[in-house]
Amino acid sequence: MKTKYWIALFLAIALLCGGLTLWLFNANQNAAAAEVWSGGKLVKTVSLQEDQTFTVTSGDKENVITVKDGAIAVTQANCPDKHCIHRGYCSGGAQIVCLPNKLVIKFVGKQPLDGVSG
Amino acid sequence: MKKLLCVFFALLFLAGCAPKTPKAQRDIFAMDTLMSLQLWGEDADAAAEDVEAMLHHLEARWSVTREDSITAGLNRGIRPEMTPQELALLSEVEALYRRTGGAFNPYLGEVSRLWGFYDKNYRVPDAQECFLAIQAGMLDMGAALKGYAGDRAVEILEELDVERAILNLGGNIQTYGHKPGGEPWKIGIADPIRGGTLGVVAVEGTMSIVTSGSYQRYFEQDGVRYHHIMDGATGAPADSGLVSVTVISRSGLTADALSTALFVMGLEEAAAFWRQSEDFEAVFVLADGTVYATAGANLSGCAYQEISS
Repeated sequence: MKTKYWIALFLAIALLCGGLTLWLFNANQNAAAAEVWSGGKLVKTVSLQEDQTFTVTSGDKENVITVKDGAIAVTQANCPDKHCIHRGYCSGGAQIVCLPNKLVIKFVGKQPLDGVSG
Repeated sequence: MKKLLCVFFALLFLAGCAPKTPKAQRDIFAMDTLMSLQLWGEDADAAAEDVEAMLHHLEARWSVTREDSITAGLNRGIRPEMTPQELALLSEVEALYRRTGGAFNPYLGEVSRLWGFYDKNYRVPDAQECFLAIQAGMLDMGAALKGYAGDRAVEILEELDVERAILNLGGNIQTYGHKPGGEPWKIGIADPIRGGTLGVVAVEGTMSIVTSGSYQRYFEQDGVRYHHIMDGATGAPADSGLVSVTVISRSGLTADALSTALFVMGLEEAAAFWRQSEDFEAVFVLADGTVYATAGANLSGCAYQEISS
């Protein structure tokens, strides 16, 4: 009798652990947000659901970032090449990088991929 | 009995809900690009440190712009001091140049400089200038070094206690080890036309996934786009009808060099080259958005034509 009780407890705990892992894992993928890094430091985390425009300044380096309709883009920058602006609006995938200004926009959550080659 | 069971449950908790494998994450600006490292394992931090040092060292040794680099020395016509490993890299790069019939050409430094890709003072030179720039034969490891860095990183990870890693070396993805549960790594390919992700390749274990695309570095003049992938036959940006090529290979150096080579070759020649090779798979995107993938590329998430052997 005692053994049965222990087996039941064992199964209950095993299920709880498994369920918790799955729940945590999925919850992690639901948030569609982006992190804005400047000079290797995280300066802002933005939800892609909230439209907004803001400026990231580092010394004399400036990037204007716009969030619109679930996507994010660098809309103005004082870098020489403007690659960051050319990327346009992105809602996931490869990070947006402005190399001269050391600005990186990384996507968090909703990322079933381990990496993006490009 | 009770004591035994207590120990058993303690073990169960440790197994199921144990603290996660240590993870290290690091962003490095090197080789004129961003490198993002993610590593899991007991030695994750030490490995990240070593990989970062290796990246800076490779950059210092092979930079085209640094006066004291091997590249600068060779281009001035002197024989710089090199380790056997550095000599081996140089000869592997030469071998890839020959293997691809010059489609991967590491001697087009002067051509890139002429078009302004070194100092970002872009301009469109005339055909004679292009011809002369090809003749200069100036070494530029740009199309091979990030891939080679992936191979060197793998060597470092193998030496240490690192379980798995994803290294994004300026758009080159280097996977290492296996995900828990044995699932394959899922690596997106950047959509060269619309932005975002085009499709996904699934790869097993340690692998290099490198993309060369005309969307990566370019300038526009009079409404025409000029990109950075130079054709050694013309001394001008390759005009092969492709906008991006992704190569999947066990060797990062091979993946890097071949992604450039196949881009320059164009789809048909590249498909023929793949049929006579055994060390890579590839995904091609044409200017009109059509996607082609070789039989072993494991591409999903988008419509594509399969290139069969």
